Amino acid sequence: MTSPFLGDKDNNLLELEQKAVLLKDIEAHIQDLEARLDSARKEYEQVQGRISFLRASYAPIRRLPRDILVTVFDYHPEDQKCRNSVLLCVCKMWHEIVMNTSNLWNQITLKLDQVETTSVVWKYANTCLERSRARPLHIWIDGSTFGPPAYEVSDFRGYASQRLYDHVPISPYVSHDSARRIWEDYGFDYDTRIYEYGLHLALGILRGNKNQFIERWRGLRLDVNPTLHHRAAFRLLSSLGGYACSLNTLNYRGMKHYYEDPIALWDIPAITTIRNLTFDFMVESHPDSHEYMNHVENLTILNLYNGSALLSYMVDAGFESLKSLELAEDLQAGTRLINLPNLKFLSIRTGLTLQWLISPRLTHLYVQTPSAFPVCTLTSVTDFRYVWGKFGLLTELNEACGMMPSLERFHIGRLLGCSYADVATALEEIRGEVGTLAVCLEDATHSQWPVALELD
Amino acid sequence: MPVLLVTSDNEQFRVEKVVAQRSVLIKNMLEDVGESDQPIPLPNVTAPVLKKVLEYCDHHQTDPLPTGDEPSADESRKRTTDISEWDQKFITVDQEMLFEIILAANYLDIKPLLDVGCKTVANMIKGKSPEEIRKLFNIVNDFTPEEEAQIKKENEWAEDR
Repeated sequence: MTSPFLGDKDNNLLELEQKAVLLKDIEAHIQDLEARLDSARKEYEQVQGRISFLRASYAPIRRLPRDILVTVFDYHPEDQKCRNSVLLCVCKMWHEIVMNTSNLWNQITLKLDQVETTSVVWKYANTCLERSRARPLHIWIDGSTFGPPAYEVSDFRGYASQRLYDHVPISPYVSHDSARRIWEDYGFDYDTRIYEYGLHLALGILRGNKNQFIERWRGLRLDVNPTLHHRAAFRLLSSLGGYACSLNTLNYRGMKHYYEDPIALWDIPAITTIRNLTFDFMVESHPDSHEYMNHVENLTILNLYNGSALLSYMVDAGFESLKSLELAEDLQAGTRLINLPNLKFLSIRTGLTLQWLISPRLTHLYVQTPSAFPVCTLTSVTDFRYVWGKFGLLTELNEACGMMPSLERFHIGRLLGCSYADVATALEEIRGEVGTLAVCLEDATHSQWPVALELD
Repeated sequence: MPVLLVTSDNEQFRVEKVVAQRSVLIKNMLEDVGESDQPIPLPNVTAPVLKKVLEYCDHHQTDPLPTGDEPSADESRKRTTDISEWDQKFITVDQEMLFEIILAANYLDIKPLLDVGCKTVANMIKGKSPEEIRKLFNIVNDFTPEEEAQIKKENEWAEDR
């Protein structure tokens, strides 16, 4: 308030003092409000957290018991490593379930890319071996893109052996003999030797100290780099014989266009106990009947690229137990008959060489090439699957029935570039003319056709 | 001969025996009591859920029953998450109902339905980060920062994922 007896300057000073006091009051008030706001915010967050917690405890997924959650996790379609690394981080309950469920850790895929990154791969292998406890192991070592180390091993020349020992020290997981055979095979360049050593090391780690995990091995798939020489491939396969006594399934993929020398399959000791065998290498023929394949129930021979007459080399291998045979090629058995007494399922490139086959129990036949039907009578076949080549469907069907008089089901696959609608229309046109024969159009993604080997 | 089922909320469902017997629980109960018109109580299943379950059983009434000889998870290297078109449509329900169907399938012992439910949840999780999974299912991250650091340390193998 200004006084009429004071000058303007004095009045201003007075007001200034009053305003300064007022300002302090307001500041104190703001501080008080801010403190209360902070407190209210904290309380709000606490209540919000509690509400989330209470809501979450009533979340529908919380009602699922542990065993059902394990089934859900088991059905998770991604690779075990991807799946587990995510599930472990969701919440305490899921973490506890994943850590303590051994069958979520027994499908071990080791992807070998570079020598420098293998230590992380070994860590993962050891984690799986520990957490899978006593479960049977299904192993896939994918070395198909395993590259040479970043340092220039090829430049080491005369000092190579010593340098290799320096960079890739001898491990307790690779026997001294194996290591010596690899390092001293001077026919190979050094990169190739390191690569082979890496594969032996992966197998060695999965065997464990004193082969402690060997009895748990059930399935092994090995994808190797095409640079791996056939001699190295044989060494790798041969090494299994010494310890892989519980192995049920072996799947070897070399992705090699050709080997200079075929591999002597009967010399691989593990072959004599394997039930499911898949490979893509050429095998050596043997003049005597060795019957080394007599345990094999499911055999898949993948694309050999050069169309080698493979089955003729194996004609005396013994196929007593063989139930399922998948060939990327034809039989090419020369002039000798191949006796497959218990074969039920055959998948083959064409039906042109089937006259060389003795298979009285064959019920399911799949011909992969369009309209390449059997040229001989197959009396036991009840299910025939083929790819429609867009010729007259009824004509083809009659031709198939002529060759397979016991046919009950005729499965039609679709040729690439041919729409399902086209096949369905053709099928519709012949309805009523097929008698009791069941004719079905197959959706390749939901095929009910028996899968001989479940490896992938 | 029809079978009378009574839900936890006291609703009655009269269904054909062949449909009801898709449930191993009901099948065993019927075998135990023999020919009888006594209602079968299902105290763990509500009417809306049983209605859905019976829709599934009716559609699949001619499917071969699981024999129990199927390969175990260990033996079966390739576990498919494929779900048939009809089953996919059938199981397109809200989360509440999805988990109720799974629980009912488990209680009633209808393995193919349990599998469809579990596969559906597995497919929902596929490709998601932990945070996205928490958000999807309303799960609270109950790890302390120290525990999170410990988990990261224990699982160093996942670094190159």
